[in-house]
Amino acid sequence: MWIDTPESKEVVTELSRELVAEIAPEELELVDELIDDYYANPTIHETKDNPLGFGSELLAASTPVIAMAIQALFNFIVNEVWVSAQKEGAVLIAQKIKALLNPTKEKAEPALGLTPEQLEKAKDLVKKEAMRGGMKPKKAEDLALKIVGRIALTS
Amino acid sequence: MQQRRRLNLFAFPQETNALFSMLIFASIILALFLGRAFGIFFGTPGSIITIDTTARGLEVTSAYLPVICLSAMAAVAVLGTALIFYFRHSSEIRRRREIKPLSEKDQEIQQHANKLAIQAGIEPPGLEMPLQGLRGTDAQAFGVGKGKIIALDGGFRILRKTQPDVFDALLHHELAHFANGDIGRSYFSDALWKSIQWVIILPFVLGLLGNVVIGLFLGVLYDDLMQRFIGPAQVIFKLLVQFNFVLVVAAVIWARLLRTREFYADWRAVLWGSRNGLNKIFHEQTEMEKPKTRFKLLKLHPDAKERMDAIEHPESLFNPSLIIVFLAGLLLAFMFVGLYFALSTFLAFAGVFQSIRDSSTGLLYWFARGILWFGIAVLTLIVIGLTGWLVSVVLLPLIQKQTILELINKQRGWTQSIKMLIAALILVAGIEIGFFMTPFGPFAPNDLWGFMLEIFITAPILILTAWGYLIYIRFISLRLSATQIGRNFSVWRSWFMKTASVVWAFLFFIPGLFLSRYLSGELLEVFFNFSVIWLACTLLISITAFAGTWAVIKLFFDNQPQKCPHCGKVTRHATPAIELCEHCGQVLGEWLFVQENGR
Repeated sequence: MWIDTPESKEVVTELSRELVAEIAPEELELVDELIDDYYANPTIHETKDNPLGFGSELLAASTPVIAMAIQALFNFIVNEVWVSAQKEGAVLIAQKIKALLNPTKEKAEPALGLTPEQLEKAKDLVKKEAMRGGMKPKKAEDLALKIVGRIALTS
Repeated sequence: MQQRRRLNLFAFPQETNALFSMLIFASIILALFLGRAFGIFFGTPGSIITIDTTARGLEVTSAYLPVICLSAMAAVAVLGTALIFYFRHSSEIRRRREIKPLSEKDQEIQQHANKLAIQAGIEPPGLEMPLQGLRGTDAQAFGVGKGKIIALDGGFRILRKTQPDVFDALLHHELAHFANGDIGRSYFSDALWKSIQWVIILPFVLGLLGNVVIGLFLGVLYDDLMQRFIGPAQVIFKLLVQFNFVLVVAAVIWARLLRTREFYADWRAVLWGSRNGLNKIFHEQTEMEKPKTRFKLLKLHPDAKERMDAIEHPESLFNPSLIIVFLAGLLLAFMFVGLYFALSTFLAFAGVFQSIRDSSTGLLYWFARGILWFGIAVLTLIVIGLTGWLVSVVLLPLIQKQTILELINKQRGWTQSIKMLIAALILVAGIEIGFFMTPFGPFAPNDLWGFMLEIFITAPILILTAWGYLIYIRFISLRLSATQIGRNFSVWRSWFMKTASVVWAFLFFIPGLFLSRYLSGELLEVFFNFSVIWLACTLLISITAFAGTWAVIKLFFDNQPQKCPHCGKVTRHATPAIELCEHCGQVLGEWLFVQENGR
């Protein structure tokens, strides 16, 4: 599936970097390192109930969570909207997704639009995924709005 | 750098010290419980309760010894297993967290931790992390003896660069556990709890189930055996309830110990300048935390909000905890069971010496006689020691802290003493429930008349005498703490306070408690007479003792004007411990306050 291809990873990294610049600029220098770490182990870091530990864990970095949320969004788009487009080549899909999420850079390739209901669903999905990754509700909402805002602009 | 004055939590013994001792005591009670329960399950001869009081010599020994051996073995096993778990905790943490000493690429983290430790005035610990990974922000201090290690999650590699204040706060908090001497206490308590699960709960449940299954099986085959099985079912059910109760008490103490140590570590981390970092963590956590419905008494970690509140208002940790008062009451009742067990042990061995004494003459006779009296003396000392410990380690610091809080909040007058009636009520409630919930309840009333007597006569008298004790301790604490100035709390004042507290408890509270346990049965008249004499003496002498204590304080501790330790001028403050010097503006009671480094 396209989701598992190097092209997909490249798009996730690129989009994550742009979002990190807005949401967690202090991590900008570490994005590549954090994305590599995310791909090395894409599962969510489980907070263990350790009675002899510090007791209150916080999110070490937003980048892996952003990458995870983008990945979930791609899954959604591929599964829900672009089922038919799976027949097309991976490179083409990558271009379309990039165009969908980044209207200013990818003008050449027209992107496919999402309906308002699908946009709402995408927003909820990103927020839920970001919170599952340990992001604060407000920040997760902010991230979801930023991502969905990009799609809406294109649509 | 700005500095601010904070109440010194370490001006008084840490609550975790008391909780640690209480947990050990509760686990020994559970072990004694197990021994006696096994006596019932397996029909071991000579239940302590059914012993023939006319038996003498080796008869007594053979009757008591099996149950004593079982209980002693269980106590040794639970403490021994805990020790094994304790010594294994380091390797267990390393295995679970997959951590190793820091590699070359992470040496900067080690150097930074060394710097923080040196600034805090403690020996730098070793750091260990997973070799790879950038996730997680949990930290955990551990180690046995002088080996001090802090385990860090991979996310610390990122935190150090992105949120250095949070990184420092987390390290400060873990370093504070070392500074507070928490490691041995916490990990041994944890090990003790694991040991209780394996050595006490498991055999108890298996023994109980085995007993029920075999009893039912035989009962189905033979009718008369069914009757014999149903007979003790009520005793076994009661035993089960009592066992679970003592178990919950141990769990509550263990959980409270783990929770309390976090407040103390946060407090010290704030002192080292990590207020902002900690607040950031807890603020984020409060946004993430879902409301927990878990029973608060058994929570192993305080909520982020509770921790944040304690950082902002450390004086809240001086509030007397009624749970501790209740637990102290329970343990006081448990002590009587411990005493009962000690008495049985003594009688078992005394039986041997009694038979030696009766059948010998000359030196051997006097030797056996001497040993018997020595045993009685040891037994008496155990009772005095244990009760004295409970009073001076658990109750006394509680009252002292409350007194300080009253001084700071300018709460004066009799209303505070009247409020102590609630604490007395809770203490006696703990004692009474403890008597009902100790194994087989040997000191609980066993009929309706006894129950009514306990509720309407004994308990109110005990509440009043406990209240008298609390008022007395508050009075001494107020007089001695309020006028104490300088860097340290005077050893003499501390000694006087402890002695007065123990003496009062032994003269006017413990005898009443002891006598009240025998207000039934064939010795009722004797014990009733003793009780009346004790009550009369308490009413008369306690007032004199109050006046005497006041006179001693006036004569020896409050006999001349206090001088500021900084400028040497006389201060006119009535409660100088909590005031600033009116001449130089410096803190007078330095023992009670510390300076916080602000960032």
